[in-house]
Amino acid sequence: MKSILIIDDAKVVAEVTALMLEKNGYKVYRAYSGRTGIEMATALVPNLILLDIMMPEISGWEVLDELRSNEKTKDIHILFFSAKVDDEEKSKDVAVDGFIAKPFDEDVIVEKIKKILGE
Amino acid sequence: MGEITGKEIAALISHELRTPLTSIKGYVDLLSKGFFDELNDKQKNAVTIIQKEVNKLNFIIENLVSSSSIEHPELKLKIEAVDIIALINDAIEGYKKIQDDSIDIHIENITENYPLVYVDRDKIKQVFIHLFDNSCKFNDKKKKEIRIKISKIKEEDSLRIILKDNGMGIPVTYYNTVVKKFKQIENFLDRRHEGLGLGLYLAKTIIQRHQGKFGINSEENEYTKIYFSLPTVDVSSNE
Repeated sequence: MKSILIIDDAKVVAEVTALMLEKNGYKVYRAYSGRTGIEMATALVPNLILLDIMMPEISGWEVLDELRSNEKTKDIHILFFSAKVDDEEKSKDVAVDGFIAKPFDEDVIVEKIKKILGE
Repeated sequence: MGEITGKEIAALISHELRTPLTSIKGYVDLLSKGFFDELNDKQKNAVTIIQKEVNKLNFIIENLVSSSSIEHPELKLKIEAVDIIALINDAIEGYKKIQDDSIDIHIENITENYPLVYVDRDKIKQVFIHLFDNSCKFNDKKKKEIRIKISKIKEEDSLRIILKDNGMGIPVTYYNTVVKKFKQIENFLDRRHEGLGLGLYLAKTIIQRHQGKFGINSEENEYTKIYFSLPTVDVSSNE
């Protein structure tokens, strides 16, 4: 079973997204801050991270930098998901596997994840 | 620190509105699929209404964000070769997700082979949805309809699209008003029709960003014809 780590400070969003992904057969972990997300990513090394961008303390951009500079986490697939549409344009300049705009449809996010994971 | 621009405010508001909307949409979609438990018919009906209203709310937020950014040159269009019929059908499907009123949308000469258009798929889909929405909103006939005609304009390397409805029409003196931001024929505060008055403004501006022409021709209480052109060659480098 492939695993996905959701990093999002909006707990309800993280929870409903987790339910959608679990329904589609993934093992899902939740982290409600960027710092916890980095710790969990290093410990668990999931197949993919669903990363929110606008978070307090450390943003998704900073989480991405830390994950990419850590030997253990540098190759994990990362999919941004954000409610700020202009983040999509900015995300093209960084090392992520894609971008999903909130709100999203279950089939859209699942299809994108499957494509990234080569399923 | 400089002043916060309207675009930045729109982006911030959109973030704050979209985050709870993501949770509502996610849970209601799971409910509709019977994820928590099977729903009876009354519950299914209620959930379908919530889904449409959530999609409508998201559409309004998108319009507000688009209206603050569409004229900015830094907003780059994602140009790709697109089949026009598939795009219109996609827009019809998208429109059904936000609107309950029934309107008969018919594409004429659908068998003809049209060249691909070079457009930002999502933006042009939005144009069609806005035009469908306007035709439906400003129409008090029992049987509402829209006829779509597509033709080639060879000398201009473009397709001409005409949408003709059987709605209440637009007086000729208002042609220039209704394509402005937040404008409808009725005064802003006395409006009887819902909507922010952004549909035709966004439709026209998006078409112009594609180097296309946009126009209105109408007969009061009879019809409104909206016509516009879409490029059949990639003109994105001319922007």
